[in-house]
Amino acid sequence: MERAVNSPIAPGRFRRVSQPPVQTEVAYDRSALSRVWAALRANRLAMVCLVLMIIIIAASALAFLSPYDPDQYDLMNKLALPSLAHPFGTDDLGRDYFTRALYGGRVSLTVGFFSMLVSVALGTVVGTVSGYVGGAVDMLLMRFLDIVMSVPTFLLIIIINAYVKPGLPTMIFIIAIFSWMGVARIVRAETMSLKERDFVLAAKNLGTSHFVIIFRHIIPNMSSSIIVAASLSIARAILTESSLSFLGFGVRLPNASWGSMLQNAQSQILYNPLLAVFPGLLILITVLSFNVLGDVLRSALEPRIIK
Amino acid sequence: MAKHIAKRLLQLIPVLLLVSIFSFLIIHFAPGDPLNMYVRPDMTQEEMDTLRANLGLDGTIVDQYLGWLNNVLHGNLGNSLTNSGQPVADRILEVLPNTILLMGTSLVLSFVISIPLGLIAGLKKNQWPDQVISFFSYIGISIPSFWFGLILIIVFSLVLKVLPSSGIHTIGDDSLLDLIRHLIMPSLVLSVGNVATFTRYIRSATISQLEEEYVLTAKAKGVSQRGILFHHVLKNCLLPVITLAGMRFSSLVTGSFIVESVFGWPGMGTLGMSAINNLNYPMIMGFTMLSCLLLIVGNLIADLLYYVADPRIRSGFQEVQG
Repeated sequence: MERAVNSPIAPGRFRRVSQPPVQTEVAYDRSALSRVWAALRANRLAMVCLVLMIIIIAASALAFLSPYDPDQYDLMNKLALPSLAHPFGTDDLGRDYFTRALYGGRVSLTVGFFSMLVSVALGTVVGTVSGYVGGAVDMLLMRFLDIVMSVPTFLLIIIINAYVKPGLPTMIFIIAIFSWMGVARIVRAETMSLKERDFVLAAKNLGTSHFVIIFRHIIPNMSSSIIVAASLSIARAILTESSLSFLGFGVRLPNASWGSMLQNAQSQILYNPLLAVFPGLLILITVLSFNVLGDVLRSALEPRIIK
Repeated sequence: MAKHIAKRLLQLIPVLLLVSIFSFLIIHFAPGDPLNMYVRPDMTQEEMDTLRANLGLDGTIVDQYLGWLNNVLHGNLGNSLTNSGQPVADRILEVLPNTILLMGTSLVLSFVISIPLGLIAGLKKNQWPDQVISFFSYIGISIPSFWFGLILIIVFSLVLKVLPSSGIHTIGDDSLLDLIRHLIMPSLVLSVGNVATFTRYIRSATISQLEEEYVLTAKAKGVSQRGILFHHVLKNCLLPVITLAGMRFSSLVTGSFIVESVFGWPGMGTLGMSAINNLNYPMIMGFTMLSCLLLIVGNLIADLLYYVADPRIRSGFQEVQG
């Protein structure tokens, strides 16, 4: 099992780091960055995704510049079709849909980003401990992981959200505690292979503490895998959040996210189907961008994938 | 092999126990009292206490859980707190076929769509067909399924008016054709993520299989490309996809929850949603347990299929079990 995990990793990637163990890390990072840039330029879809993602993030961050208040009713002007004044039209209460979509984006992106942070942190801790310590600890943690993975997690997230009626931070945490398993598996496999490398063995022989070995030597060397997992994890968290909010168990009033806007749009579908189009399109583009960029990062940073 | 199955089935026990304890705790710490569904203004305190006892809602949470567990072990999932106390098991069995029909159709649909797409993409690696297919598989894994459902409803039900937007039957029409018309959109929506995942997988499997030496041998012997693809490559690609299908089983369980609520499909998901909204805890426990069971059994079946299909695994099992 351990051998199977070790073998596909191209030796060159770690050898470069391992010769003089500490100083070359920076050089490695720079070449990684340039490889990512090259991969981005070679892939038109990825470039488009990067640009769209930057636009959506910037627009959501700058939502306060909009002349409209996202919660301002204007009942004379409800369900208006898109126009210059209201690029996405207005909703059933006459609120400017474009502004609401931008504020909704803030919520969706925030949930996505912080869920990713928590789940990647959790996964990294479980994965490194499991892979580094091994033995009974590893077995226990992996059995636990198997259990969490064999459970319909989305269902549990729904039940918790339905009854705890959480605010944003709690919801972020709930999404995260059910999505760290993938990261933990990857990190565990990488830790198991890294801990046998010469530079880690050398550090051990020099009397370096386990803590320092993990944080100074092991985690930095699998940063590329973690970054890839993080990008894909944001995508998944945004999807989870939007599904939850769409079902009515997610973001609650007065907050709105893309998902909860769609929940509302569903009830207005007979009157203005366009309301259902825009927020979903934004989710699609955002999630697509994180997925595509995650894959580009993966192929740029993990040479073994390229064939 | 029997040992492997037994082991997997034994693993079910801790999973189901943990999930049941977990759900039980959440439901019981939820604000609101399920008794409220029954209380009429003219009830005396005594009547309410009796009712509470009858519903198994008295005693500490541990007592309640053990009571529930005891009933479950005797094959009784309890009575629904709504629907005039119909047994939970009956209610679930009533709607389960609908969900299984939806999941089964979607799984078949996923294979039917993704196999040709994956083969074409792998065969035309990096050419335009591959790029187009790969773009659409990115869309497939990124699209929120409920939104895809809404868009389909807008296009096919509101604008074109060719497909029904919700339900499983038109009232008074029990024909198969009517069922199929109702099934098209939900099963398509439920398939979209799986189609994308399977296609990507089959593509990369095709690419690596085409590099194998047996393909070269077959070519040298004059086997047509079609023959190579369908007789050799496809067989070897399908193996991992079977396992993948097992792993993606959770997406079917989860997905049906979402899809059913978009299309008003009368299955487990719809039942679950109303149970959650009504604090109908025996029902919630029932379908949570059943979803777990479905998921684990789905994985197990995929494992078994894999085992049956690949003789190498058969010998591998013995080694691992050692």
